[in-house]
Amino acid sequence: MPRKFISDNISNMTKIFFIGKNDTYIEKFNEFSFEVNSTSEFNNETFNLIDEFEPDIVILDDEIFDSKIVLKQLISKNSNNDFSIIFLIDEKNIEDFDENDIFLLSKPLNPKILINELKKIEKIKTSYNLLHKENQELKKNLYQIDVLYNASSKFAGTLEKEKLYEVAFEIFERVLSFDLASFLVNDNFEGNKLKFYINSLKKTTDEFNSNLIKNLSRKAKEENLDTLKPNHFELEIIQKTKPSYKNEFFDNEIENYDKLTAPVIIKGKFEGIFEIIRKNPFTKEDITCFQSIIHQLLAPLRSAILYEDIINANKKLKNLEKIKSEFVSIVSHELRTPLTPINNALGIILSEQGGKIGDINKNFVNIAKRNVSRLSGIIEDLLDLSRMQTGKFDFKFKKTDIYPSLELAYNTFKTPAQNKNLEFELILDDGLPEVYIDPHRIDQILSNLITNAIKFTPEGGKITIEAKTADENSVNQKEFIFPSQKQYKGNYLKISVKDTGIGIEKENIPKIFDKFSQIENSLARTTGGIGLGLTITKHFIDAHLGAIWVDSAKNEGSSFNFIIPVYSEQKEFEAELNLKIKNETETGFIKIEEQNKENDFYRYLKDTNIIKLTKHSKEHIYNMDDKSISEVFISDLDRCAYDFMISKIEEEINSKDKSCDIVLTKAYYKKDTV
Amino acid sequence: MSKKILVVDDEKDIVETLSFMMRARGYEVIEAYDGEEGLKLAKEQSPDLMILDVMMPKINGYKIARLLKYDSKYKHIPIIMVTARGQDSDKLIGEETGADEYITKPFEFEEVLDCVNKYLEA
Repeated sequence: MPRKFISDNISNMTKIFFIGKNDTYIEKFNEFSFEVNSTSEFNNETFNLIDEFEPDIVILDDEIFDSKIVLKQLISKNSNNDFSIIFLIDEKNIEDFDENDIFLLSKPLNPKILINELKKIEKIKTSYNLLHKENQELKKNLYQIDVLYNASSKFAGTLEKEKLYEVAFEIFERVLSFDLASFLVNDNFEGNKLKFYINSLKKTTDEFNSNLIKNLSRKAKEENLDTLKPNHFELEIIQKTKPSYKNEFFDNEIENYDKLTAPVIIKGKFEGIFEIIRKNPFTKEDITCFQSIIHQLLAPLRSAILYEDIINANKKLKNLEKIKSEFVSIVSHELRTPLTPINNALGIILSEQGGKIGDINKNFVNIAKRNVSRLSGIIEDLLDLSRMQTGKFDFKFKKTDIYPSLELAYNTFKTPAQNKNLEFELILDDGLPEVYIDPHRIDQILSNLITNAIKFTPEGGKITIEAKTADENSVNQKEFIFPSQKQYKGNYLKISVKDTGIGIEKENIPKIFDKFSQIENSLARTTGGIGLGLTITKHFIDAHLGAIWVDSAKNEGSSFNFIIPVYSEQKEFEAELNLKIKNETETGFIKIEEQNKENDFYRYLKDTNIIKLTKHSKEHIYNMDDKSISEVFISDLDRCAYDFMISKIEEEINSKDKSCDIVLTKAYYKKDTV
Repeated sequence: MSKKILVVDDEKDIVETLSFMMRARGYEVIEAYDGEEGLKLAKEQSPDLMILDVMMPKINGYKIARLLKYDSKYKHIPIIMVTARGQDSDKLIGEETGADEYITKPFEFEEVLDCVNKYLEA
């Protein structure tokens, strides 16, 4: 039972319950305007009477039967100290009496003295009540301070706007005990959309909501924040109601509530307006609390908005990049088409089937033909680049040995090298292990590297191709190894293309695999080509889960080295999975069947905090429109896949040019299939 | 005596075709395939006109034009700059270096010839 607050004005307030037969006391009480209830004997009903009356003081006269036992019962009933007990005892019995916790007055007693005693008791009680009340308020303040103190850390945990609103509501709820909290926000990223968040004890009717919104818009207007015009927007109401009040509605007019309102303005831009409403008026402390919470919300909200901007800009960039790739692809195809008849026509002239053309003309037609094929090469490079960016390269891996590719490369480039008076050598170890490769892509890699070597090596130089095995230690120590964040594990086959050409300056080495790096370099163009060969080469090597690096110094020649993993089942698996991820994240997803949220893998991903984990239903996955979000769905991960995915994701996180929006919707890790 | 034209371009095919057509019009043509050689020949041979590519190994076309135009001995030689770069900024650099004409690749042969005639027939 809550303790009532009693004012100093005793005569009006104090309620006395008297158990005794002496009417003169009762008369005296009445005379002093006490509110009195009494009974002349103690029985089963007496406690009920006391409960109903809620007295401040119970006076027990020892005249009644078994008064000491009654006193004991009274004391035990009053364990909560709801009232004070005065026991009137005959002077001659006072020596035997040993109860504490009560007020004792000896008879015969002048009623005036009793009244005086009552006043004293009341004084004590009043002080006690005041103290108690202040203590309660202090406790409440402490609680509020504690919640506010923790608020900033709660806010700091998230970069999502909606989550921040939720946290704000949660904190309001803990410190302000509102009837309804609402937030009307202008959602910039979904076009002209107003969102209205409601968190309430009871349900709200449509009418009530619309009154709330009108009210808020009016307040926004008063603050000169004219952006919230509900009529011009699509309105979405997001409501949360406490389950226990599900069927109760706010039935009163909104005017009947006390309101606290706060507009939220970030970087001069009006974001939205918070309001909490309550039947009981808000106190000064409540207002301070409210202000403090809103204040603490602002900084993280600012970050969240910035984050949203960045995410949005990133999406736009990705889209632009895609459009660019498509554009390049279309244009390249279109360019390629007229080249074919040009080439054919030149071929016909050269064959002299339509008549003799003479040596001079032959020379010029040859020039034309040579440049047509050069142009075709450039267009092919551009097409490769766009394929690379859209993940459309087709890889057909197989378990094979490397000798045929190396021999083909050697035979193809022997003549061009000799024509430039270059020494050309192929050094092969016997018994090189099998690798898991797409031979066609390996041919392209070798062709690119050897073409470069010939191009950049002056006459009289030397080009050496060498293949041997390499272990992970020799690989991991390389300074400029691409991709560089990776740790290389296991055995590799290492292939080097070494020349005695012009070499590369050290500061340029990290850049040579960038797109168009040769063109950007300087006006002093030394050789043809558009600088895509190495970019594509690196892309192919990445797909093989290999790496490439360069040992070079200016004027001392270059050695381009690349490694590809020696065949194993694990490497085969990794290469295939890698390919799937690379290709499908661009356009869709790898789908999954099972889920198990309690596994280490899921937890790992969640802990990294960078990867957003969302759970979708299967239907949602199949019907997803927004393909711009890269999603990876992984199923039936066994031990190998698990390890690999973790290293893969670490790589994504470390690599700077990726935005890491892989979304793992579900993951399944079968522990027993090691 | 026929007028002498120096053609400097690292693209041998371009030099060869240009030279052929110029010779067919009765000009004497000397050829260079990089900037260094081009500058050397310009100084040694004192041609009546130069056709100069911009992007070349060793010394680029802008630099050659600047070196010649700021040298009183050679500044009278008309220079026609030829480049694949069509941006305005490049054009400006071309003008600052003192090149007399500016032609972008791909060019029609007539366009070059008009330019050449402007300086050599007047």
